[in-house]
Amino acid sequence: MTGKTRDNYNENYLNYVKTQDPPTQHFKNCAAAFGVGGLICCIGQFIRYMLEFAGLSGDELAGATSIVLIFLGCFLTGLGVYDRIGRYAGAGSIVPITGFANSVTSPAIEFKTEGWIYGMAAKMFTVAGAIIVFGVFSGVLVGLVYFFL
Amino acid sequence: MNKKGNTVFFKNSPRVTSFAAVCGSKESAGIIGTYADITLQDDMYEESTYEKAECKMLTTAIALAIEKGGYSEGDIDVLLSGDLLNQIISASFAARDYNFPFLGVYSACSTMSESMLLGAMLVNAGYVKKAVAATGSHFASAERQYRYPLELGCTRPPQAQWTVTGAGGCVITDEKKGIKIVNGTMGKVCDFGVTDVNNMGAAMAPADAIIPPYGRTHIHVAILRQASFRLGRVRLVHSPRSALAFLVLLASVRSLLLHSAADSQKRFNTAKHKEEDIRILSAAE
Repeated sequence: MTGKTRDNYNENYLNYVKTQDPPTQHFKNCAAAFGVGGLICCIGQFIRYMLEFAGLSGDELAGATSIVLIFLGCFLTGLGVYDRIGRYAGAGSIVPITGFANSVTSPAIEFKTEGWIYGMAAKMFTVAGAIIVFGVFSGVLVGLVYFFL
Repeated sequence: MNKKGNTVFFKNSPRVTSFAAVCGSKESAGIIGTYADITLQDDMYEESTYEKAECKMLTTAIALAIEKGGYSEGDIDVLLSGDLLNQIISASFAARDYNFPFLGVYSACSTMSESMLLGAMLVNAGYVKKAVAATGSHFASAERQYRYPLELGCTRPPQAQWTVTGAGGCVITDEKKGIKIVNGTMGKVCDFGVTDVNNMGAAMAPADAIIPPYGRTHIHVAILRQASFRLGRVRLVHSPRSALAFLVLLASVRSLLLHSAADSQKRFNTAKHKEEDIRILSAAE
């Protein structure tokens, strides 16, 4: 079995493909991500102020803000709006906590047709699972570093 | 001469006597849309899941092809069909509705071509008198199986392509009417090293072939095997154009096949119709 390696790829063809691909507009994408991500954060801050005004403080305040944002992410995903925001904003909408909510809700909606247990419940974390694993792992690493230093 | 290189010659000229196609809303908006018999406004096709919709499209295409040829279910000897899903489930369930034997084929984008090649071989050799070759695919079910959930807010790079939502079927018989299948080429896997998961057309294009023009009633059916590409060590095979490839043959005089992202037409992959000759670009995946 020869297998394909970097050495025997068809370089001419790959170069030709590169010329044919429409160029990715990096600056435009970054600007959109920056704008939309910032806007989501501003909305989050605004919600935080409103909740503070309503009388919450400390950990409760942080938790409640997260809850509202996660709800908004799930709600917009259910309406079919969040993926359109994501097409435009890219990382700006997938990185904040609303993006995490989207990544859990979208497989749940998609796999509901396969059943409640083996479909929705089992497949809900296909996208978010990686986030959780590596998030927890990096938390552990940081904790260890903090512990020993 | 029966075979030259990888090309098989059909002495008894099996013919495509009837055909039908169903296509989704996005496809009907394109150039080939006018050639489809049924176009769907809603990609769910009034079913509860996308897989069921795919199955229904395939069943409809098969039934319509048989009906247009003036045959009945009892006349058909074999069904060769496939789709993109695990266990070619849509094709298997579509075959369940019929009383003739089913030979499942999996070949991703070249499923239609392969079904037709095998059907032509069976008819040519005299093993069967009438074979139905059909294929179906659905964007949403392929996305669910191979890529991300539909509602996930991730970006599509500009070179990303869409899986076809459509189904097509044709009846290949030994009768003396219809489009002759003169020969067919069994293709090989061509891996030129494309590793971009989104750029399915680039992975498929090395397997494309431009067939020299033939007479009006002769179509050289070129079967090209999958151009697979790698993602690291995993060999992934993507999305179907078999329905599109089939629609090419539908319009026996005019055939167009597109690999397309939403906008651009790639030079490699367009075929222009002229009165006296037929050029077919057959894309395989």
